[in-house]
Amino acid sequence: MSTSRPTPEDPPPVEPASVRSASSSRGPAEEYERQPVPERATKPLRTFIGIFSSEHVAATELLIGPLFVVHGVGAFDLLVGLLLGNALAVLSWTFITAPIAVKKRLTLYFQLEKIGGARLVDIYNIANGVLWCFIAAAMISVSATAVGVPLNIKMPELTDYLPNSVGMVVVVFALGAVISVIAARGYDSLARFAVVSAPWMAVMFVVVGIVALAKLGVSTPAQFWDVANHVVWKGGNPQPGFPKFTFWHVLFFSWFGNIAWHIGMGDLSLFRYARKSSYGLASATGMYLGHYVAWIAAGLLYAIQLVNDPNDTKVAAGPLGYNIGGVAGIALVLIAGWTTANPIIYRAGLAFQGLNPKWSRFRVTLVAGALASIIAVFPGLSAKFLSVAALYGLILMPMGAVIFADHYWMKPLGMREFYAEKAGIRFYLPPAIAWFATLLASLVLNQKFGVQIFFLALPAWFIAAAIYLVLSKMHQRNPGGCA
Amino acid sequence: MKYALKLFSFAMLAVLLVAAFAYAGGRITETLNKQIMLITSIAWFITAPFWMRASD
Repeated sequence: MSTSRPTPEDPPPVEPASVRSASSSRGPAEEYERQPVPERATKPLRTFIGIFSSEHVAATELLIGPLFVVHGVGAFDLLVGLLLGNALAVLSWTFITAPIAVKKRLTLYFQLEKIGGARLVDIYNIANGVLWCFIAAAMISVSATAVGVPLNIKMPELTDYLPNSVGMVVVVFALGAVISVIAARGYDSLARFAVVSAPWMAVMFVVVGIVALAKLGVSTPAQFWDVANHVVWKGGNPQPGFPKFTFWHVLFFSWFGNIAWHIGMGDLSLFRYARKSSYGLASATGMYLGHYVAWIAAGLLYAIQLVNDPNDTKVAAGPLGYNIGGVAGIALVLIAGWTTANPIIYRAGLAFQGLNPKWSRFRVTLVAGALASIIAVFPGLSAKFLSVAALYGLILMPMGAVIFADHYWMKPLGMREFYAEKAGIRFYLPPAIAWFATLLASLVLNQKFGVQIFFLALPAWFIAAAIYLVLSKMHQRNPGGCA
Repeated sequence: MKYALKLFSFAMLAVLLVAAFAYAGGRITETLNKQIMLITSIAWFITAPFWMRASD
């Protein structure tokens, strides 16, 4: 899943060199924080291809691939579900996010401020910061499993929710501390290292997939199908404590795995630099490299572990990587986790600091890093990462529905778009209520009607848009009213 | 020089990939493949920063 994106609030830490050079030649990207990106500052298609293909090969792929196996998914369900789900994600970027981004050319944050006021952006920042800490925690825990291999530290079992070894706790905190300090001190050199690592990581994921297939005895497509069905994604019962995954689970997870960025509009900040909305199709490179090849490769690694020892169900990326690639495999896991955890902690720090610019960014980033490290100690986060990822998207997505409704439906329904800006208010209630009421409705759907978290985002989008439009109609008709 | 380094870096990635296929085809051992993975990876990280930084 995507982990970090260039936003106007901070310098893009992991974007490819081509973007940085393009930005620097026209002034820094932050120049357009509070104004539309001018035509002369737009970027070519290859820039977006580079960003997507590098950002979607991250440490979390090493968790997600094996977890599909844990959830008992079948081979057809996985391979076809991922194919279609990723296609829907690409179409979402192309037809929902990019057209608004190209039309308005504003960041997500500035657009939200115009719609809901500065205070709403503050709340969004808190939510984003906390959620980023959870994602960074997953990255740290993945990296910790790589460090744990040469140190011969006991890895957490699939059923462990609490830390099962002092050694792993020490490694997590040590790694978290180093990553946090680097993030807090500024990360120019590490950002450069991340850019250098990206092509290597992409090739390494393909390589471990090929090696894994060979280890499973696959040398022809027919053999692959046989092994996929009977060895890797057998489609039987999931591991105890995990819901059974079907085709629909895979499809919705791969579609909504990055919902915060496409339907949730996080990538308005990215695509405001696109010359045409069709550049949204560039997301296909990231989806099919990171969320198809890498997830499948990671699943194959896990299958080899199960073949070697059916009782060894733990999802620990370090040993998986070492088994296939030796030292290079450990390096893959460590670098994939490190290079993605670092910018996320930096951004979490920035999000928290946005609440009070007088706070020291250094200290706030350290606090964010400490929070991520504490969360990373608990292996339950990694075991339940599919749910965590779905929850992350669900929490942020309603603001995307609000932006979509504001852009397309306000004027036709006789209302004013960007109401907070035009009314000169710092907090416009309808989008805030739409956000929280949608989350409440999602909770009800989940708890009372048993709708699994992976399927909640679709109805939630319509709920958020409807609530926003109805409340806006009420408020704009009677600005002094309660709504 | 920059061009030569870039060529070398990508050649290393190509070797990394070819070695994986060679292992899959039974042409080389797992141990040798792991060694090639390590060497080509180190070569990438030694050479790529120079031409990537130069293009910044």
